Amino acid sequence: MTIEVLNLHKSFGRKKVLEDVSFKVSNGEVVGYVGLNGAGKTTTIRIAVGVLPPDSGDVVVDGYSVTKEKRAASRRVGWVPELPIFETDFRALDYFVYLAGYYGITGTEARKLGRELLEEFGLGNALYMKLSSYSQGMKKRFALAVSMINDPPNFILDEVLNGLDPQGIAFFRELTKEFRKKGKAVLFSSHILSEVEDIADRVVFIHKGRIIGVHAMEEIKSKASPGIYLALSRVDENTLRILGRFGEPVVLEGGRILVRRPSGSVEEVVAELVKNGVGVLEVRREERSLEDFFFSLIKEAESP
Amino acid sequence: MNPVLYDFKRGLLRLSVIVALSLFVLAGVGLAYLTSSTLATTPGTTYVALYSYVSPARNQFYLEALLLTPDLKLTEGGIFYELGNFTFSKPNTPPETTVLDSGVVTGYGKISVFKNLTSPIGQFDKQSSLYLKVDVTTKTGSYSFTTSYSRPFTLDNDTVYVASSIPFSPPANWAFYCLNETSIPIKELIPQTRPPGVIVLTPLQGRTLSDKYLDTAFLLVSHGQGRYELVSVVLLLDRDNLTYKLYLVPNSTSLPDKVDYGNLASYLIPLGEVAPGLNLVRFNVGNSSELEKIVWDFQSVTTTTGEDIVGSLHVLLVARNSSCVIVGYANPLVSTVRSASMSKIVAGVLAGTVGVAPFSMFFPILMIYLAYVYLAKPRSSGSLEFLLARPITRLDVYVTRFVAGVLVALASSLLFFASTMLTLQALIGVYFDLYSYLLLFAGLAASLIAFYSVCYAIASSTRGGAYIALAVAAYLLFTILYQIIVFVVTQMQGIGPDLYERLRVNTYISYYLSPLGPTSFSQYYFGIHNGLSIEPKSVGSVVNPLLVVASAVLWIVVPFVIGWLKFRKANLLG
Repeated sequence: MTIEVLNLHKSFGRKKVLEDVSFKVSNGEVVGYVGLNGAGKTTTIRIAVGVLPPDSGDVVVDGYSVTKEKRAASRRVGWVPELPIFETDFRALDYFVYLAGYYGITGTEARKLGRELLEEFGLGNALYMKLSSYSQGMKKRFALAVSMINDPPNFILDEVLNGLDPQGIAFFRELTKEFRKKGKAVLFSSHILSEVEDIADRVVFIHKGRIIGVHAMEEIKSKASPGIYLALSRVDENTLRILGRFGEPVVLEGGRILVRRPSGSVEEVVAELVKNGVGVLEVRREERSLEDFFFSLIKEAESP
Repeated sequence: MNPVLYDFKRGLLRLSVIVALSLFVLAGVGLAYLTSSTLATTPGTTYVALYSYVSPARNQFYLEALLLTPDLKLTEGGIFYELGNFTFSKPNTPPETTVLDSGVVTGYGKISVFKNLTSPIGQFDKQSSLYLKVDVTTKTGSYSFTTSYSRPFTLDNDTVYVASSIPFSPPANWAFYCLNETSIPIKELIPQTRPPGVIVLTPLQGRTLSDKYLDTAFLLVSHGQGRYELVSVVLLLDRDNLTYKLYLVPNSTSLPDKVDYGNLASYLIPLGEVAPGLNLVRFNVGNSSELEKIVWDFQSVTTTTGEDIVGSLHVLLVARNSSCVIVGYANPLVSTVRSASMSKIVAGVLAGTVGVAPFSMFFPILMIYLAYVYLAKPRSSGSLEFLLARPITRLDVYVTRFVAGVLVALASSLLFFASTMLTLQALIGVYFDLYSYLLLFAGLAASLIAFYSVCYAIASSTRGGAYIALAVAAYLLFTILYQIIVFVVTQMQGIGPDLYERLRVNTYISYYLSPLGPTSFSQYYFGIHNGLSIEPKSVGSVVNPLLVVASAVLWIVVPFVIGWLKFRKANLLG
């Protein structure tokens, strides 16, 4: 139950879209895949689900290479694309039955399964509607139902919350959490980091076709939280104990200290330090959001 | 359901494809009707057995006819007749023509018309001659002739003048006897040494009757593979209005000298009943060894058109009236009719310019549409990606949809020829052997598949509008431009008396270079198989069956492979 992306390279014409992209999604883990629009997320995912051949590199799903063992790899991964495109002259249940044929499920059994899954994902009253008349949300639910034909151990959800109403967003969030509970490996892409905040265990950041960072969600959250930066006359255990009353002190390079998640104001912290004989050489409070964190990564990646 | 079959079913059950397939079926029916109407307007491809009499005293006219196909089956049609009078009033001047009556009579098989004439028939003398002009049109052809009323015959206490026309056979002389005893002296009737069929030297002179009018034809219809049918066309006019039984005397040494009237069927072969008027009596002979039992002086002669049977029959017409047993005897020569001749005529139409050719020219349009539906459209919209995320490979998708298109092409060709075959059989009773239809089917199917393969290759490397433009260009190239190119090339080789021959040769060479060539090649072989010589002999030197098959296979495989090389790496996102 793993998805291993290994050294992917892909160009469209002269434009390099992916350069040496590698990361791994393990079982029971939800990995957010975050990047700006056009960063290469969807290209990575299209390669990962076997619909686009890479120029080089590979994606290995549960030990099966997507490029060499496509059938076996595709059996082990479900995919909900950002904008699912179907052969729209089909009726929903018929298309489900048609696609189920590729999983070796045919006829009555496929029809029964189709009814069950489409009903489960809220499409029970749209079984015989033409796919062309489905809304974006319905299309995503239909794609999900198709992906569940054989209940695969791995899932890739590409910008799945885009264009959904709050009910749809909640549905996919809960579903992702449920997948994690069931021990599935889930890759969840988004161009908004906060979208994956409550879902992802780790986040892989991609920018201009390159991976610019892989961070645990906790780490991101902590890095993204507000903090008080201090330059002090001395740093000892007593100093850290005092600061510990106001937050989580972290000693940075050069003897500087960051107090994460501060509970008091800058003035209160400075007053307490001075009262205990610790000179404050410099102090500033920094406020950072998740997106600030994301942009700081981009900035770092783009700096020479 | 297997995805290939599902794609096939889906491809087949689209409204547009159903409409197209219905058009194929209609085209098949249309082809049969076209063939039928072409035949109906072709002179000399039908027969009519006809007799007519006029009664000058009662001023009456009667006409009766049997409408026959070239293989002597009853058919539907009509006769336009004109009854008139030629009067030679002055020497060395054209006769004056007076039309007494004219009309049209239609129907199936035996048709007749009886009229009390308004204009007087007049007298039969040296200065005038009564004529009957007939134009026959049946489902199988047309036929025109003019005959005259010359033979007087007493019918119903009235002297009528009879005109008759029985097709195909040399006339047989009939002698009728009124035998007082009930046993018939067979051996006396059939002298052992005399030239067959020409003159009957009857040993029973003195007892003959002359109150019958007979015009007969005995025709052996060859159905091929040694199967024969004896078809007797008998015109009988009988003053006593009796119905006779027609018997065949077998060529057997065990014939008794005499056979009792009540026991005739034990020694003779009963063919059927003959009533006054026109009769068509059919008798299935079976194989050629059985033929030797009924044809005396049997010989089989090989001609350019096949085996001809030479020999004569000994036939009896037997009836009984209140005073005697009436026996009519004749020794007619047989004529061979090949039932294949009818199918040969139809084959000529099918293989000709009004046959399969114009239909096969438009069928490829369906293939353009199929490649669009199966590959170009989903590739343009991006929907192939979602399909490809299933446990299948690109090659699976490529092959599955190709096979689905091929199955539709096969189904279309099958429907087309099945409907043609059934309609032809229903309309004119002609059917070809399986090989003939397989040839035409294989040719059309191979052409459609090859053209589908070309369209599929285009669809694999282009999208939407570009696909339509290129596919239509390919269609125009192979259907119209090619012919122009071939003509220009042939003209550049020089204009001379052999221009047509060179044009045909170059045309057949060009068929190798076209995905639609197999249809033309199959028509060529269909023609040869059915004994047609529709192309100059030099064409044969460039039509090689191995090359024909190789070209068809290459036209299917090469575009398929080129398409795959493009498709395997293609970005399938719209």
